[in-house]
Amino acid sequence: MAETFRRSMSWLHTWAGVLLGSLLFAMFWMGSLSVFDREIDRWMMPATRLAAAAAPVSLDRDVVPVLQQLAADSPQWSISLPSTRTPVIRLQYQGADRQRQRRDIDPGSGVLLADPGSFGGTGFLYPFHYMLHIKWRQLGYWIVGLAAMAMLVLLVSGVVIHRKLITDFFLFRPRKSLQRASLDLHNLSGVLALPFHLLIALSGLIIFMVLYFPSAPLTTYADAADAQRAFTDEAYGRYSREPAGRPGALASLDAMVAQAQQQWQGGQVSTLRVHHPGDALAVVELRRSAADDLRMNLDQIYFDGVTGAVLRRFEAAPVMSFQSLLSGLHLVQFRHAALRGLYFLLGLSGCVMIATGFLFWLEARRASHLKKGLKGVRIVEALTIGSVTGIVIATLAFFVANQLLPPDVQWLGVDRAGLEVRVFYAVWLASFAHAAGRPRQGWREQTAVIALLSALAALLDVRATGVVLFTDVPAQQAALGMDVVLLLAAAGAGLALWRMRDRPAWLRGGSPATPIGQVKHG
Amino acid sequence: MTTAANAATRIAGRWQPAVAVGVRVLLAVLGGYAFTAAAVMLGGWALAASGLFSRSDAVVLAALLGFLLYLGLLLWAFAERRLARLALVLAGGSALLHAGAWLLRY
Repeated sequence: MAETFRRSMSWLHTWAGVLLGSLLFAMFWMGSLSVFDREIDRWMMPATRLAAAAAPVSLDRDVVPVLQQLAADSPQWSISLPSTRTPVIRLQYQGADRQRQRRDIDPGSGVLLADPGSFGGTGFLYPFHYMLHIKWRQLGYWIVGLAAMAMLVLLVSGVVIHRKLITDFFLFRPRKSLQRASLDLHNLSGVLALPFHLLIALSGLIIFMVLYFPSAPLTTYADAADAQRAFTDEAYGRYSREPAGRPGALASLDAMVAQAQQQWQGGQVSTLRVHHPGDALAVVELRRSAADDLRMNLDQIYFDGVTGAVLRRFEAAPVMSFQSLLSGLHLVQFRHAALRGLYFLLGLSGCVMIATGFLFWLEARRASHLKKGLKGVRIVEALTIGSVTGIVIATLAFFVANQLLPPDVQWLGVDRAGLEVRVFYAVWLASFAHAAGRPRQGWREQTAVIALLSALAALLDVRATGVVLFTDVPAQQAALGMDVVLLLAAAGAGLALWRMRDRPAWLRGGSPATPIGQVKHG
Repeated sequence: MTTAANAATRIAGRWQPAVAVGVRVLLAVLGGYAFTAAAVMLGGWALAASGLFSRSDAVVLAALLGFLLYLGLLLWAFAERRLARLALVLAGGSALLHAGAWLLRY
């Protein structure tokens, strides 16, 4: 499109980045948090900070009667077995209002826990990462998919426009001009973590390959009545059958779990799904845990719900195993705290890359836009502040609301979990308004709010649950870890605030900046 | 008359780059996707026909490669200088590939 390939890529990199950077930042931020979504759950749902049960759980004794009472009419029950990261038995079913319900059972006592009143990390932050909570016609998934393709485009074009790729490994000049420093940091975070960013964008798309290429099986499976279903049945091992419409007594789930673990030679069951519970043709689906596997393990066994006989045993074919390896590298379900920590930091490096990309764009244009009277810098700057510090503030407000809202609060027909989410969106919107209204003080003031809210969230948690410094209960360690990270974030934001003191006048709220010399890319 | 005509030309000249960019973006995102989706359909069929993969694995492999093809097309769409050529390949090519896939289906 331009005279040279590099120029075209430079143009593409700039404009794709400015247009989609806000969305990509939100995805990277939520994705980084999702690495620790279950730890966030423990923090937001203090009643689930349980020690591992001493005796193994009996599903037939403790779980099935509860589901028969709560969800007799639900077409499906999902039972997730307790693990190190989620020490409760998690039930999911369709409630009387046809909405999906989630309840937890304490595996130690068999007691049904009260509704946590929160979607937590797994129910709000994680789905935000991959579908933005836009359910209409799966639009959220498509927007995220397009952004992930744009991320790949940005990475490749970013590499193309570089002149000195190796030098950038070692180049950071924080004390030069803001424009220079932000470009250095943009390059550093982009180049150092390039393999991670490429992997994460590509594997994120690959997880949803069936959704993004719905037409893929139409030719190969042209002979099937429903090509898409025939394909997913074969590739993912789905098995289903119509209910009989007459009642049938459910066979022992405990026996099925024991049989599956024996067939998987020690591999643990993560989830059971009972399809058409109570029907004579009920099917019980058992899925293998990925907690000790890099792959997103697709092993499944289907049992006849009434006779307990094995209907189907599935293991993925070779290419599908490769797909599940790439999915596993994105979904990081394996149990390894340090490796997960690395994922968290690499995810944040993506946030740094996007934020500094915005800063460089702004600084490179600030003087000339001011001279020509263009509004671009002001608009993009407000959008940047709201997308970067704003979403962090909104997330922290979500945490603080979780601590402050009374247990059974209802407001305008919205329940407690819904109110937490409303707080998130309201605060996020307010941060954009604030950034638009106070562009010069925006960064500084929002950073101050981050410092305050982080510290407040940690203190509120400690006040509510007491100081637990030395514990060998993983769920309490998870909550403690989150408190520590919050305090570190508060300290980091405080430090940033201190550093901004020395920044150019426009950041402090004084007169506009003096023009900074144009800095060439790379 | 001439001033009006001049003004029209000026406005058209001013908006022409924006329209060209809009067309290019649409061709890249939608045309590129249409091209890729059809290529994935045909590729999956060909891989299955080769006998080297099971049916499901052939479709999975085609879909995985599809993401890389789409990436390549997106980059090319912004590098190619001749918009007409871009339209020919992405719109015309997609039409041809979809016609081929349609023949295989029925």
